[in-house]
Parts: sequence; C-alpha cells; structure tokens
Amino acid sequence: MRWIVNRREVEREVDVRTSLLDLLREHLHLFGAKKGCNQGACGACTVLVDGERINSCLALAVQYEGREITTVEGLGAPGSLHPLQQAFVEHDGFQCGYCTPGQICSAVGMAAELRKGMPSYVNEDLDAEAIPLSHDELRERMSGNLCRSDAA
Amino acid sequence: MPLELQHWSMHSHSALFCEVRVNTVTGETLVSRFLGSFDCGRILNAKTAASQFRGGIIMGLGLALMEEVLFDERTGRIMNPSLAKYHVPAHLDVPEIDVIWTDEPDPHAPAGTRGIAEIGITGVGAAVANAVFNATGKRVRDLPITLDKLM
Repeated sequence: MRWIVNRREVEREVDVRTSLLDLLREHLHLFGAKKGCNQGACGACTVLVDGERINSCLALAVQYEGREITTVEGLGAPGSLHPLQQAFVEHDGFQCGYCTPGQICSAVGMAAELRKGMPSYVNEDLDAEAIPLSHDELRERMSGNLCRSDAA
Repeated sequence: MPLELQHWSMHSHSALFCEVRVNTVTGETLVSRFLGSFDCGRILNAKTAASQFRGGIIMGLGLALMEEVLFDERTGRIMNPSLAKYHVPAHLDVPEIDVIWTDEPDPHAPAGTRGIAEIGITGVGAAVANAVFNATGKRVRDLPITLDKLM
C-alpha cells in the first residue's frame, strides 16, 4: 500500500487492521503524533489528511491509501518552523509537550476550516459570510485537543 | 535540608477572584472571568511564571467543576478510567484568566525566590465554590461542583 506522508511517497505492507497512527509511529517511525488515549478523546494523535484534521488513532491506514498525510514533522523543520510552531514557542504554549504535535496539527486544520467558513457550536449566525475570529471561536474549535499541563 | 528552612516557614500566598454563570435550567456552571494574584517571592521568568499560574488555575477549575474518580463500591474498580469519562478542562471550559504578582524577593531565600506551580491550584476550588454560592445561594462543600448538586 502507498501513502504520501509529509510530501514523500511511502510504501508498506501492513495488516489491514493497522490504524493510521500505528502506521505513522510503528512502521514509518514518525513519533510526532502521540498515542494518548487511542480512542479519540484526547486529540494527541491529530494529523492532517489532504489538509483536514483527523484523529489518526480512529482511522485505519487502508482507508487513507494514496492520500496526502501531514504530521507535525512535515509542517516545519528546526530553523524553519511553521508560523504556528513559532507562535507556540514564542507564547509558551506548552509545558511537557506531549499534546503539542496534536495541538499544532489541529490548529493548522482549524485555520483551514475557518478560511472555508465551516460553522461551529459557538457561531450565532450560520449564514454569515465570514466567521469572526473570537476567543470563544478558537476555544470551541480547539476543544478536541486536551492538555493535562493546562498550558496549551 | 537548607539551614534557612529550619528557621523560617516558607509559604506563598494567593488571592483569587472568580465570576461564574450558572444555568438556571440545567445547573451547569460556566466560569466567565478569573483573576489570580500571587506572592511567590521574586519572579525570574515572567512568561513561564504567568503560564504556571494560569495552568495551575485551569487545573483548579477542573478540580472545582469536573474532575472526580468514581469507584464502583461493589468491586472497588474505578468506573471512569479514561479521558472520555474523567473530564479535564478543555479549551472552551477556560475563560480569559488574568494573573498578577507582587515580585517581592523573599529575604530568607538565596535568590529571593519561592516555588510557583501548585500555588495556582490551591484556592481555586474555594473561589469557584464561593462564586457559585453568590450566584445560586447554594453552599456546595464537596467538589467537584457538578450540575446535579445545583439542581
């Protein structure tokens, strides 16, 4: 089976029951996405598939064959951080760092959702042209990523 | 043990201010504003200190409103052993939190400093419980203050 992971094509033969998270961590040795709860509650495994954020622990690798998968390793590199990675560093947006790759991937996915005008629980006007970037809007959209240090 | 610890009691102090809104129909508590003020000796790094204070307050909000280990008394097993059942504060549970501090060096500590981390947590439960009392007239003495205790 083939996938495009962080802009590089990879090919592996894996059990059909392998989750996307296990493919990334155990087979491709990309340890950015974390296995927090392995049941979709914590968001530590968040990665981007074709620019949309998903919980990779709840996805089967076979479902995403041929798709473009981006993990935190593919967003930036030391010396050329993604703007969101830079912002997390500058604003002390983490403590232990375990949830950080998920938070960052989730935030990148969230920014794309906002650009597309996807509504959320706190939107008062679903017909509005543009979604106002309020604190509550950001909080609601990031609530799927838990942080036990309460730092993110 | 450093000699000064045998002679001086080293304690940090905080005063916490909390505003809550309690839903009259569902009993859900929403913390809408929070201010923490602290005396922790000299602050060496304002950015990380603010994060520690703020993070501690958020943990305190969890303690006050949602975090609880529930035992099955027949078997002794924990009934909510997962992040889906043991609730910690998520982003939307957390309001804008202001933190201020005195930055007065402790004359009895080598660098004028004391620790920070847990001082952020202590007192938050009391601040939230008092705010809930102010909002509802109900004195809840067992944390967390879940909606069933306010209905």
